Amino acid sequence: MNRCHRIAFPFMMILFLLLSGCTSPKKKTASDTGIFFDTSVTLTIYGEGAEEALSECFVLCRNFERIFSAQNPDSELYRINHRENAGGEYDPKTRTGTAEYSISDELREALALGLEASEDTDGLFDITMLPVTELWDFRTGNGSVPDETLLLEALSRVGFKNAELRGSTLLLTEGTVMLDLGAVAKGCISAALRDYLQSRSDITGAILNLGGNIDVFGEKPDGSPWKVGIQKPFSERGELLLSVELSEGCVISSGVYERCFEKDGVLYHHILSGKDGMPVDSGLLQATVIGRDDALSDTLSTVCMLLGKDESEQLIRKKAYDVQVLYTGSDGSITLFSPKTGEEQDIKEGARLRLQP
Amino acid sequence: MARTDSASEKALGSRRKTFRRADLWLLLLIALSSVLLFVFFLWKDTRIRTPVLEISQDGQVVGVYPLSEDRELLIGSKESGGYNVVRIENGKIRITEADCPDRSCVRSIAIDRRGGSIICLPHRLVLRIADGAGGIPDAVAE
Repeated sequence: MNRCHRIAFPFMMILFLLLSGCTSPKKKTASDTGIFFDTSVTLTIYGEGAEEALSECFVLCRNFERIFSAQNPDSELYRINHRENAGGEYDPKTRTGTAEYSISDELREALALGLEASEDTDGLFDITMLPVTELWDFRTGNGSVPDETLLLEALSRVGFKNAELRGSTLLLTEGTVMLDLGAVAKGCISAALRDYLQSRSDITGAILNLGGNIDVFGEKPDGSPWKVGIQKPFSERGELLLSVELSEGCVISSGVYERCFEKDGVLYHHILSGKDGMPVDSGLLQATVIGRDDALSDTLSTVCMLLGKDESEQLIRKKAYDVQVLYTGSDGSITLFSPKTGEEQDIKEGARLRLQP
Repeated sequence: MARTDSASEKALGSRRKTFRRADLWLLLLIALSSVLLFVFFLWKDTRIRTPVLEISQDGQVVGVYPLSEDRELLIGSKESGGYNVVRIENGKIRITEADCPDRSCVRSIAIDRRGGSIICLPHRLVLRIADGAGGIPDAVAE
């Protein structure tokens, strides 16, 4: 070792220590709230690529808006509902004949899920409810019950059997049938966001909140499990009924307390029957589906509300869906249904449930 | 003995002599600086940031406020419509008044230093605690 080395060695040691100090694994976090499809989307992403992934997620949201929105005139769904450039035998003058559309993969997946749920509930859940849902105004909290003649006219246009998927071709056999993805779209979008984030090696975990639909995966920086609270029905927004802890999966609630109004002592809420177009009372205030498949869980939360506890449990068993459901009954009772074990468990308010994926 | 020493010094060259003094100091310096650096980064990572209220509208941050001072803020204008009144009181934040159609922001639970957010969808307004202290769920399923 010559003199030069003798001086350089300690300096290199110091430099090395400085550098290793700087590269101590810092957990990068990026979080933001955006508003899409009339829903707030809050994403918190962990990992080296968090910033970039976050803005990419919002780009994806914007793209989905152009597929699923029933209100946006530029969306794929809107154009189909209004029979723009319809293929097949559709006659725009008489508004009759079968319309044919070659649709995107995203729309096909959402429709397939919606059609399956419509089939499984024999039309109590109906993917073609849009003419009816458009008559109800649940946004302001002081809406009114639609006129009966209008409701009957709208109901005559409802019928999921008039929508058919053949591969990536959608057939609408009735000229006036309109599709409503309100109960499916958010789940499809959060599933797509999660798939994208999980495909990136520079993302270690994330929590996605699409208008109250929660999805979590990966690791929280402090290593603890994710904690998801569940809204207490008819309480201040953010007040908790109970909370669940999980390492991965989605938590999706549907309830009568959300988007509703009271008129003459009767509560009218947005969970509408495909049979008569009126709010359904199935003995439940809320159903929360905890699962792995966001799109399925989103649809199921509405299906559970429509079918009620016993019938929805039967359906979940029959289809062997990999979910757990928390039911809040009109009497305030809380039950956790785990089809894997076949168990039903009474839960106390304020509980902290630890769920296995 | 002195002879042997100087003989061995000669044999080993000048390497050993300098190691005994300057290099020992350098080693100490390195050890000390590494400890200092370690402590510094540890402190930097875990130091407690003060939670603040961040208000944004249409995706743009329009204001950041400490939770320690009580105040009332008017977002938007009452004359032209589209307003929310935000109140910070005893470290708790609420929207006390708004002319949005659903008024779900007014019916939202107060947020505080632990974290959380209040959203007014029609007015595209988001109140959020930045650098929240924690102790509340990561999200709420609605």
